Amino acid sequence: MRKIFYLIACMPVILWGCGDAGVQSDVSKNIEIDPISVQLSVPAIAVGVLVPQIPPISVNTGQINLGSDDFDEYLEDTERFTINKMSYTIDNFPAGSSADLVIDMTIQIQGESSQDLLSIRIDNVQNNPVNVLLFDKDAPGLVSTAAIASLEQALKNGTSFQVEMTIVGEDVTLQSQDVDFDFIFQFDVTARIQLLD
Amino acid sequence: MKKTILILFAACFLALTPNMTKAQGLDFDSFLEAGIDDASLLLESYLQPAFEGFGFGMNSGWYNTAKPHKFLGFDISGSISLARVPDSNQFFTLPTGLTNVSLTNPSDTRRLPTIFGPNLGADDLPELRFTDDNGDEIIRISAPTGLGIDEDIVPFNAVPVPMIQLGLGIFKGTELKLRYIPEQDFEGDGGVKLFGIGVMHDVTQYLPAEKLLPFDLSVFLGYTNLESYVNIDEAAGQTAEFNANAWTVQGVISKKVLFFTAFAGLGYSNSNVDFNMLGDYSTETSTFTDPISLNYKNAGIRTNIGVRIKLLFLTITGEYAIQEYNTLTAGVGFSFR
Repeated sequence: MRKIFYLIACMPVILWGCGDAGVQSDVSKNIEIDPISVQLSVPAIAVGVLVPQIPPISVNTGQINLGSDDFDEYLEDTERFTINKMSYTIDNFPAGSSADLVIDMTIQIQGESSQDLLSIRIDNVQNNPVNVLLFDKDAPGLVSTAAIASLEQALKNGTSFQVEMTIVGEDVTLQSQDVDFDFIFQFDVTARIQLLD
Repeated sequence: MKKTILILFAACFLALTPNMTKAQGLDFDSFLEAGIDDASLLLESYLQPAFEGFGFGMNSGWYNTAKPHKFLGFDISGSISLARVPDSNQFFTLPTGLTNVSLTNPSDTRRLPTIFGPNLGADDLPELRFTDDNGDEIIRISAPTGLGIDEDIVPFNAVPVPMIQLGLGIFKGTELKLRYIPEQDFEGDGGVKLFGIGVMHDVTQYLPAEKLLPFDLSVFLGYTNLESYVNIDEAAGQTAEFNANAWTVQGVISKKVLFFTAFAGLGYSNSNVDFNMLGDYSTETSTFTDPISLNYKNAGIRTNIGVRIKLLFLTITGEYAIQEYNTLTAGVGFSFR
């Protein structure tokens, strides 16, 4: 009887609502990954001198788990993840120095082998470009769609991944032997949430 | 606090269906991040038909004849009223005055479903963008979908309002009607109490040749009050409170032929519904106390027609009320004298 009273109070519409179809919603976030510290170096003798090319360096994002870290409360009801956009920002490249960068990016999903993601060239990194689009789902360009699909599956599985970058500096002029700057990834991600009664 | 995906349906008592709120994509934290004023505006528009419909429904089902019971005659009846949500209230446009909520795509001309709108998939819902006071994006969420009630149970979107009441004949062509549910506590989940009182008085007794009149004619005045709450998080002192008051005054006419009684009424109805979220709610940056307070008032002319079938003591009633939310009521009861 108490339950009946409760239902009276609770407007039984809620029990009718949605039916077998359940309800669906998208939750999207633009997530900025912790900055990756990058150091370009030249021999002391080359400080202030234009260097055509410096040896490649390798950096990575460290383990990222967007699914668990940023969509934890939705994860169990998420039907799929979609990576809408990837972009990058260069920060703190010191004034006076200059360089172009050629970057090969791979992703390495935990427990899996690395996959090529894309190669880009950043001219005039000293301009500290902000929010430069790397990937747009509506115009994937040269980005490996297979790698993106793997990333989306990793998000759904709650599996971590890292982005590895091999960076080659070209036309480099540094005002000190070592120049440090930050490379920041942004992922725009949508979780499609589907709940059934 | 991250798991505090509540509300939206707090009015409909989320505590029963926490998944529903998550499904709506309505993260209450995010709403609050957008500011109390924005959260209130959004919820007010989204929930409007639920509360308004409930108010209209509460004023239905009071009577099924204009003839009051004889002295100590009585009836017990139960009814369910379906307050049909007008098409215009199945969608809403994003309210003006929002500061931290906007359409992700400003040129998106689609309207947002209210809670009694259709149940749309994420691809068919406009996306809302929530920003902080600095204009930085916090999150983007599909606009909350409607429940799509008309797709499953009834052929139209309606707010159901069940009711149970007692009618008692007292004196001089007067009948007292009582709606009452004593305060109920649902083991920490919530509680409810209901009280309503109505008076029907025969006016044909004041007319000349009353015995010759081929119909019954009465005036009716009824008042209903519902108070309920749900504990969103009892330990944190978070509660959703829903209080509704409704009253109606009607002239009622009826004519009995064999075991059929046709009746009609004309009058005025009024409802006042409050919905409050009480307690402290914390976001990543702020704590809000009693963040949501919504009030819905409605009043207007109410006309109804209906029919009652009486088989010995059993009564079966159907009624249709024409008002802003046209209301269909079906009832069954037992009537003596």
